[in-house]
Amino acid sequence: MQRVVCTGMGVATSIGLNVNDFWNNLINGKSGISKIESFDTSKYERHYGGEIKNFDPNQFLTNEEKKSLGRGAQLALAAAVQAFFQSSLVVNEIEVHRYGVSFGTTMGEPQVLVDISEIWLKEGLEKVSAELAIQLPMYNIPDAVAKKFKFGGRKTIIPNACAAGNFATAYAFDLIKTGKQDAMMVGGSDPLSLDAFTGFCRLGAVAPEVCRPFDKNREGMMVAEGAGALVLESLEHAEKRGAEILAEIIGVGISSDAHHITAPKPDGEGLLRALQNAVTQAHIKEEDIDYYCAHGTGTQANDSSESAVVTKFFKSKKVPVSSIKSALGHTMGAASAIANVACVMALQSGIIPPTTNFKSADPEINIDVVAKVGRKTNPNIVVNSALAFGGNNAVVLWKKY
Amino acid sequence: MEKILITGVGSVDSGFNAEEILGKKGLRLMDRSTRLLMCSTELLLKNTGLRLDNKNTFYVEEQTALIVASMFGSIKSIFDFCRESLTDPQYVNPMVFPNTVTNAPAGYVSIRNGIRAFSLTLSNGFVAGLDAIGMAKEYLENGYAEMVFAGGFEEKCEILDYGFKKAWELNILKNASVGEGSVVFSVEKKSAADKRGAKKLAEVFFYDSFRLNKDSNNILEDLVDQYQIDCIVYYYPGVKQEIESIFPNLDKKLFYNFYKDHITSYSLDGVKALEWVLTSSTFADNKNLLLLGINPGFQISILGINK
Repeated sequence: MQRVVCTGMGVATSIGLNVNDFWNNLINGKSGISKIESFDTSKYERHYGGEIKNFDPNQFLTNEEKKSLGRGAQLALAAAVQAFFQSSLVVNEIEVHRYGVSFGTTMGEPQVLVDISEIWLKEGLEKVSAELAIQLPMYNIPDAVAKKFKFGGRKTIIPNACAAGNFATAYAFDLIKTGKQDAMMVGGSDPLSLDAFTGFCRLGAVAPEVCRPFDKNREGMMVAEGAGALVLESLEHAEKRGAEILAEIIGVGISSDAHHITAPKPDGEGLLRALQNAVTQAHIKEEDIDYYCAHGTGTQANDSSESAVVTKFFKSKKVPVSSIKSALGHTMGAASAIANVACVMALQSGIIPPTTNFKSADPEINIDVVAKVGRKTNPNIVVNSALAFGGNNAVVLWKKY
Repeated sequence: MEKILITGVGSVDSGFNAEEILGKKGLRLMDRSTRLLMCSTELLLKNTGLRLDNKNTFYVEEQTALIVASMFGSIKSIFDFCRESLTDPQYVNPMVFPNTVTNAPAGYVSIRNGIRAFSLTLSNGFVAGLDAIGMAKEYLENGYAEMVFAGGFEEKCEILDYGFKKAWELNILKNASVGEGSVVFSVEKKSAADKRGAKKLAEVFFYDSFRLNKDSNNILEDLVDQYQIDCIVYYYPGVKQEIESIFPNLDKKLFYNFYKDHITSYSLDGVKALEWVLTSSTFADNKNLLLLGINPGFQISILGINK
């Protein structure tokens, strides 16, 4: 079995379009939440979200890519380009089948969906151009990434909603661990979605202006967009080419609640099982984990049940917990991919990112929330947790290399 | 390594009657895509004896997983919701919002049937169906489950028909129209199948997926020799090349074109082809087969089965 390491990372987020800016803003408590401008929110009771205001595709994409790809694929490429260049991976023609792509998303190209729907409503379906229609399939995301870097191996898009990034990472982890692939570009991408904004608003799940995970006065989530990408490869492959190793994945855990389509299981049994599966796979104990990077959406239901799981699982100590959704909002299928980047940075820098906006502890939530700014603790092993609609749970265990 | 077997199948086509298969309870909230997947899974459970009665199933929930292929999930629900959001967002029914998430049908099937190892949805284009079976094999080998229900669903609707027509007009796809349906297989370790006395339809002995290049010919040739392949059932919806020119060194007589007898159902093609191979008299004399799916961008997925 191969060991699996990370050698490159990239992000596109509302608090930074590269890892340095993203990380510095994150640990200093900067928020990326602002008034949404890309669609009209006047008919809604909520108007804020984690929108990327300054994304310039010219920095990362060719003219042809800009013309033919939707925003989901563009954000994915932007993150992947950064990861690829940091990794200094060289793909030679003989080995192309040994390099793959595994990405997660919720909706793929929701902006294209809206564009098609607008034309359909105003002028009729037959006025939707072919060039717009073929931007819709979410398979364009891994396709574009593979084409960009000439990866010819496995190519997968896993639309497992808000845990998609971790599911995509876990799949790649297994492929590299079992020697089926040498390296994979993994990640998640989701542009800001009118459907998601409408749906969550109508469910009463969206906060007015501020997302405060685990806070006594939390009012809900923020709908957001973003992308995160990481290059994973076998340790053997990385060492052979002299790559700088950023961190190691030592275990993954996946599970399904089979309980409710939107609500997490109150006893947290599914997430507990995923966590247990991960530590068993990694041959560690729960007490070895130094930071829990939470799903932490800021809703009453999620934060209550997730914190109960944290308390139940970590029996021997109060592990520090934070949710980066406080700063970014909920980037849907990209969330756990971006959180994986944050976890690697936490291991590299020794600083646990904070839950921005956290002010007052909830007496019903008995966890150690890292608040406002980063906390220097020099973690050695961290866990990134993601939960999704459909009751899907996926966790990734990272270790300092 | 332990053998991985296909032990059952359930499928529905466009003329299915959800009420007959599932009963009335809960049907009102299920959109068409969810009904398709739910029905094929229900038929699978009944066909294999895994459904004991209305409430109980004969498998270990934490050891049973689900992997499904679909282009968009409930595409009609997604577009209906989007158009309503653009018109009157304050009146949109929040109860239908979960249906707009691509993995919702898989989620509903998991909830109804207590599938708790994990649930995955794939959207890998035309090869996704074969990928679902192949990944089931890999997840079983890696110890994530003892049994996987693997398959796909695709719903025929105005927008999907339109997209296909446009792709055909752009000379990307051979076919202007697309079908619908759902097919789900039970895929399990041999030890698990033996334990419950399951009927064995086939062994899955090979799976891989990669981009076609000049070495692909050699890979396929090696497979044909190593496993004594007597038939390659393939589907390629693109227009750029014919299969014989993609694999010039292989005997043309080995190849059987799935589209000769079927119209494409997008992500379903791989699992429909597999069902056809396992149940049709056309392949009664074939023992070792490869199923070969090729995306228009030349990503190829190969599944090797031994009947």
